[in-house]
Amino acid sequence: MTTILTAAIPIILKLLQWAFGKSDISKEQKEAFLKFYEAHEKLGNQSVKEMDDINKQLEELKKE
Amino acid sequence: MTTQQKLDPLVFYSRDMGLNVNGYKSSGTIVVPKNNKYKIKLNPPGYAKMDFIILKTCHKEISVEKAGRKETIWHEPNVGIEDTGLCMAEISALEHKLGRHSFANIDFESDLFQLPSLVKCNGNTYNSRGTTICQSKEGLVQVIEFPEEVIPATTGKCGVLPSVDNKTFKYKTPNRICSFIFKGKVSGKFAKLTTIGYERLAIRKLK
Repeated sequence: MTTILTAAIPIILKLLQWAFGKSDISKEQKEAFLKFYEAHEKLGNQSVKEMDDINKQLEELKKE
Repeated sequence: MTTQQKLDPLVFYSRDMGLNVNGYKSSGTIVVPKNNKYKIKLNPPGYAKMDFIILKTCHKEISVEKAGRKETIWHEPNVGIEDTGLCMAEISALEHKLGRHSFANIDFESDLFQLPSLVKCNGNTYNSRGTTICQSKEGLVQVIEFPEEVIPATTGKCGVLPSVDNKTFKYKTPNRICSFIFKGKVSGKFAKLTTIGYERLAIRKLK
């Protein structure tokens, strides 16, 4: 019985981890995430640039 | 194992994160009423696991690690910086194992943009109270109609949207993200339209 339980614990833990979606990622994986994020971010709204663009348009229209 | 495989970082994908912001639900993009605190619930498509989440505004960048399949982030706009109507939030959720990354853009209504419009965007028609996001595949035709003649700003990085009467603007969604500001000729009120033209749908191959 003890042997079965001992063997089952890692499987149960894996199942729980799958169910609740928590997993550890390594430093290399985090680095890879950041690399992806930074490359992809340049394609979209770089928030401050977007804000400057809107501000410029607002300034123009406030003069109208 | 690499984590930057399934999606190409140099392709601008559709924003498709499942969102619930202060009770308002949408997928990928959303505009929510002004508040001093936003509870943002994330639910990525395909039951993807979010190993790394980044929320970025004009003011802050915060990250959450080991978030799981659903996650709640609180966003409390910093007064005078993030509550001005000029500061959208962008969310990136990255998944390690299957690379089913997902993205979202959230904009917040503000006192600055109060000119309403009728929006025909990507198959949906709805009323906007002044702050609008319209996402579609780049190049598809969309419409924004104002109840009065407006003056469109000409100095934006994406130029000016076409109109024959300065009330109805029928345009092809520009590539990636653009912002357009309008001013009502009679009311003097402003409107903001953010267009998001994606290059490819994010299809996440499951095991």
